[in-house]
Amino acid sequence: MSSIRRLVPFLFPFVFVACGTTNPPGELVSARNAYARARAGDGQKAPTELGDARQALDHAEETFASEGDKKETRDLAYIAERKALRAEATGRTVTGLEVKQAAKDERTKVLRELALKGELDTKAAQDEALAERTRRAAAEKRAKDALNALAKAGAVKKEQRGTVITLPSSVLFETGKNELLPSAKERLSEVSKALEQVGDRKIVIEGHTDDVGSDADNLELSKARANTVREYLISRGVDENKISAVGKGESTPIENNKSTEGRAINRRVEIVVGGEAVGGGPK
Amino acid sequence: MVRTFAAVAATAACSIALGCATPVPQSKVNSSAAAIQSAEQLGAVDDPRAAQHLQMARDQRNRGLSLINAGKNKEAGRMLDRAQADAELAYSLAGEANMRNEAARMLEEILFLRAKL
Repeated sequence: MSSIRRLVPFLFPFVFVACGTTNPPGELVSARNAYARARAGDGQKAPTELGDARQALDHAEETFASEGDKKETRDLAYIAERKALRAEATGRTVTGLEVKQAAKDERTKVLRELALKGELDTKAAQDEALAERTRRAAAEKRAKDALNALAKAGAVKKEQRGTVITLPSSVLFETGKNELLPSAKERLSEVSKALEQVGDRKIVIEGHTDDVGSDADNLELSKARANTVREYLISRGVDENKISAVGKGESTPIENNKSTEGRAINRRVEIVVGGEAVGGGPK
Repeated sequence: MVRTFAAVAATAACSIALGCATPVPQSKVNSSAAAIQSAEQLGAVDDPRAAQHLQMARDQRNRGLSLINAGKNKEAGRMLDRAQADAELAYSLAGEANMRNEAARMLEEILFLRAKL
């Protein structure tokens, strides 16, 4: 025991050097980059959030220096990256406020110019502008309500191809199977109700898998799962002529397949509600 | 020597006992739920980037709750911290989108009024 004790001062530098040469995890690299970007750009307008991000990054760096590439280091780096992104978003919001203020000043100026033309003209223009704004707000609210209804069932994104509702495969199917879980039916019933509000829009059900297993098997499984969802939605009243199903296999990942978390996110079913009405464009 | 070994063993046993006895991170359970709710109320679901982080927050919070059920409170705490960070990011992104939309609406209104001149 005493000989080991004598060796400790000699071993310590080697252990230290070994830790020091460990490559930083991807999460820490991303956090460093996100912080550097926030500090050099939009984050400058959000000093409090940028300070939080700095503090979180320091914490991750300290843990990496003392513990190396451990789960805790990656979690802290993940949080630091989010905080840096938050600083950027807050900075852009401040810029938005400045734009809004400038627009408000411009609006006042235009109204003053209108007043020079005669008070009645100005009043009529203001009323019309208000009515137009109210109409637009009502239309936005209807769209928002439909989206909120869909969001209860899964994540909703607006993309160029339309509104995309993403449902993780884990909540719909058992691993490797294409039969719906009982709890999935409840979720899909909510989706079918919301889909009734989309009018004559095309709906495409896309099945996606991770990259575990062969391409052919994954393609087959994704097709089968997309078809199962399509059939269930039809059974709940969605018009079969406007809904189609397609299997994408492992071809379109949205996360890195190297991590368990990434693979779980890639195993999904997407319901794409197109911006184009059925029969209104090329098939 | 025996005394040193006994002290190390006692410390190790104590650490293990404390590790097992990590309390349920109840404040993180609550604060992550509140952060998710705030993001939802601000309309995070309406903005693609905010919606994505909102969903990540929900998923990680659910994973955190599963870890608590499995008795892994320490890991649960870290998962709930991740959920909180994503929910707060979703909130900020939603705020940014709202501000952008308001500014755009105001600019449209100016164009509308200008046409009256």
